[in-house]
Amino acid sequence: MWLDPQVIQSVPSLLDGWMLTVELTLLGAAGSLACGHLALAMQLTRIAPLRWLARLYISFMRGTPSLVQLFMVFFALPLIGLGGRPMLAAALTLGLNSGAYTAEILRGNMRVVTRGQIEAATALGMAPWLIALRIALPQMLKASLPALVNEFTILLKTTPLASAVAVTELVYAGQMVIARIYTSTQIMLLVSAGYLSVVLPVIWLGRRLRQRAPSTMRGT
Amino acid sequence: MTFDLAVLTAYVPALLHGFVDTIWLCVLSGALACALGIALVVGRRRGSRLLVVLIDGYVALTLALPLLVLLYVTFYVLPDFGLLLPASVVGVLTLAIYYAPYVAQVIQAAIDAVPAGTIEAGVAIGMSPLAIGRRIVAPQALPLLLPTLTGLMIGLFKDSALLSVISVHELMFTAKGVVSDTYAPLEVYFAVALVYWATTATLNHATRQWERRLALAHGVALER
Amino acid sequence: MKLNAAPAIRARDIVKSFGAQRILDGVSLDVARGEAICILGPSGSGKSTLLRCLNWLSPPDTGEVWIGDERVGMRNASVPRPEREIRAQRSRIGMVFQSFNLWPHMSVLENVMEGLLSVKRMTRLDASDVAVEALRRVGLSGKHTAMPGSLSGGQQQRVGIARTLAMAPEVILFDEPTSALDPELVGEVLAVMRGLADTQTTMIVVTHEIGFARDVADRIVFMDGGKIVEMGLPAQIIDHPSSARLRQFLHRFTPHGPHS
Repeated sequence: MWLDPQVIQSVPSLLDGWMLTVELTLLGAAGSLACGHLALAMQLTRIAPLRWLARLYISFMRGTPSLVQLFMVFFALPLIGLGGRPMLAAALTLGLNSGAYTAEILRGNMRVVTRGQIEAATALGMAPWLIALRIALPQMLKASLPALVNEFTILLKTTPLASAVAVTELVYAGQMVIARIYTSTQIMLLVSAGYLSVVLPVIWLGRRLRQRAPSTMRGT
Repeated sequence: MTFDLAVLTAYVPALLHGFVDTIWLCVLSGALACALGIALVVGRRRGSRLLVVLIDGYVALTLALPLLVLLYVTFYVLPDFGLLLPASVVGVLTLAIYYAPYVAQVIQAAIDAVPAGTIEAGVAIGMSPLAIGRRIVAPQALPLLLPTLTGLMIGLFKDSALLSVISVHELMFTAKGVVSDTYAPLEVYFAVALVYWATTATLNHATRQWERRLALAHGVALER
Repeated sequence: MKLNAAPAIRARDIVKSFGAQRILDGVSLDVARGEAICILGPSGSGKSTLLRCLNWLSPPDTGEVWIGDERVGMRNASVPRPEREIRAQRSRIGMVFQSFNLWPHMSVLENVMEGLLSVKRMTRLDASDVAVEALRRVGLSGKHTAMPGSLSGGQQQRVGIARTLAMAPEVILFDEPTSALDPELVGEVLAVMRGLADTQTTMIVVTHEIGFARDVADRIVFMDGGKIVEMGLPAQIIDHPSSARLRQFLHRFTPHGPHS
C-alpha cells in the first residue's frame, strides 16, 4: 500500500504546487517588507491622519482572520479592473497581512538606534531620509532578523489560504490529485512532507543562529 | 460601485447564529488546547524517555505544519482509517491539537520564570511536589502566562475561520452561505471582518487592562 | 596669528528655555578664526545648550548665530531657512559628543567617511583618502576596519574627532568630550585636541578639565545660570578669578585653591 504508482505519477503536479507555494511566500515576504516599512514610516510622520491610517491598518490586519482578508481582496480586485487573478489576490493579502506584523517588529527594534547616533548624523548635516537609510534601517533590520525569519516562516504556513481561491499551491494541488485518484492519506502525507521539508530546517537554523548570536553582540 | 450593507439586514440573525457557533467552538477547543498543553508540559517533565520523544516529535510536527494542512489531514485521512467524525468535532479537535504545543510553550516559559529560590524554600520546608506546584509555582506563574495565553486564544479565535473550509458551521461558513444568497461578497465579508475585529479588539483591550493590573500588583513597570 | 578680522562663529543674545526653565539668558560670544575657546561652568549653566544652539541642533528661542558672514538657521529675524540650507550650514560646523555617538554597524573608516559620502557627495576614493588622513591625525591609522564596539572609549572618541575633522569644518564644537571616559583614557583625547589647537583649528570646548583649559585655551569663558559671567585669558581667569561664583567653581575642582 505504501506508494501507489498513481501517487508517484502525481508527484510532478505536487512539485508544481510546491513551487507556487515558494513563489507565494517570496512575493508575500517582499510585500510584507514593503507594507511594513511603509506602515512604520507613516507612524513616524507628523501628519496625524497618516499615523491613524497606519495604526488602523495594523489593527485590522492583526485583528481579523486572513481568510476574511483574502476574500475581501479577491472580491475587491475586480472593482479596480484586476479581477480573475487569484494569485494576485493571494500574494497581495499575504503581503498586507504579514506587513502589519513586520511593521511592529521593525518598530520594536527602533531602539537599537540611539538618539545620540541620530544627533551625530544630524550634526554632520545629513538629511532625515539619509539618516533613515544609512544609519537607522541597517541596524533595525539586523536586529529584526530573527523575528523577521520567524514571521516569514509563519507566512509560509499561511500560504495554504490561497487554496480557498483556487490557487494551485501545494495544498490545492494535493486536493486536486485526491479528487482524481482518491488516495487521500498518501497525498496528504506528501503535502505535509512538503511543508516540513522547508519549515523544519528553517526552525533548526534559527535555533543555531540564536545560539551563536550572543558572541556577535558588543555594545558601543 | 454599489456598497449596500442594507442587503444584510435580513441575514443578521443567521450571522449572529454563526458568531455564537464560533464562540462556542473556540471555547471548547481553547479549553481542550489548554488541557492538552498542561498534559504536554507534565508529560515532558515526568514522562519516560519514549514519552518525551513522542511529545517532542508531535510538537515539532505541529509547529512546522500549517493549520490548514492539519485540518485537511484530519479531514481526509481519518475516514481512510474508518473514523467518521462530524466536521465540527474534527474542527474542534484539530484546533486544539494545533494550539496545544503553543500553550505548552507558554506554560513552560512561565514556570521557568518562577524564581528557583522560591521553589527551593518550599522543598526545604518539606512540601510535597504537588503542594509546591499548587502553592508556590502556580500562583507565581499564572500572572505571567495569562496575558500571553489570552493572546494565543485570540489567535485561535481568528483561526476558527479556517474551519469553514471543512464545512464546519461557524461564522465564516455562514457568511459564505449569505454570499451565495445575496451576491454581495464585499458587504458580507466586510461585515464579518468587523465582527472579528471588534471581538479581537475588545479581547486585546481587556488583556492589556489585566496586564496593567497584574503589573501594578507586582510593582513592575510596564513598557509601552 | 589672527589675520582675518571676521569671527569664525558668533552668537548674539541667545535665549533658550525648556518649558518654564530658562537655560540661556542672553549669551553673546565671538570666536575668531584659529581661536580655541574653553567654556567652563557648573552643570545646568547652559554650556551644552549653547553649543547645540550654535549648530542649530536645538535652535534658540531668540538670538542670532553667524558662521562667517552667513546667518545660521534663519534668513532674517522672522524667516527660517529651509532645512536643506540648515543642513549645509551644519556640515560646516563640527561636533564631538560626550557619548561619542559612533554608528556601531559601520567600521571606523566607514564612520569617518559617511559624512563625506552622504553630505559632501565625494566619490568613495576621495572620501577614503580624506578619512585615512583624518584617522592619521588622531593616531588611529591601524584601526580602519575595526568596529566601534571593539574600541576603548578613548579610541572611540578619537574616531568621533576624526569623523568631524574629515568634514574640514570651519569650527569644531566639543561637548564635554572626555566626561564619559575612564580617567586613564582622558589623556589621549586631550592630546589630540591639543594638537588641533596647535594647528589653529577654531574650537569651542565645553569641559571640566581645568588643566587642559589653562594650558590650551586662547580664551576661557565661565558660564553660570545661563549667562557668561567672566571671560578672559586663561592665566587670568584661573589664577585670578574676579567673580565670587567663579572662585567657588574653581575651588571645587582645585581643592588647593586657584593656584594648582
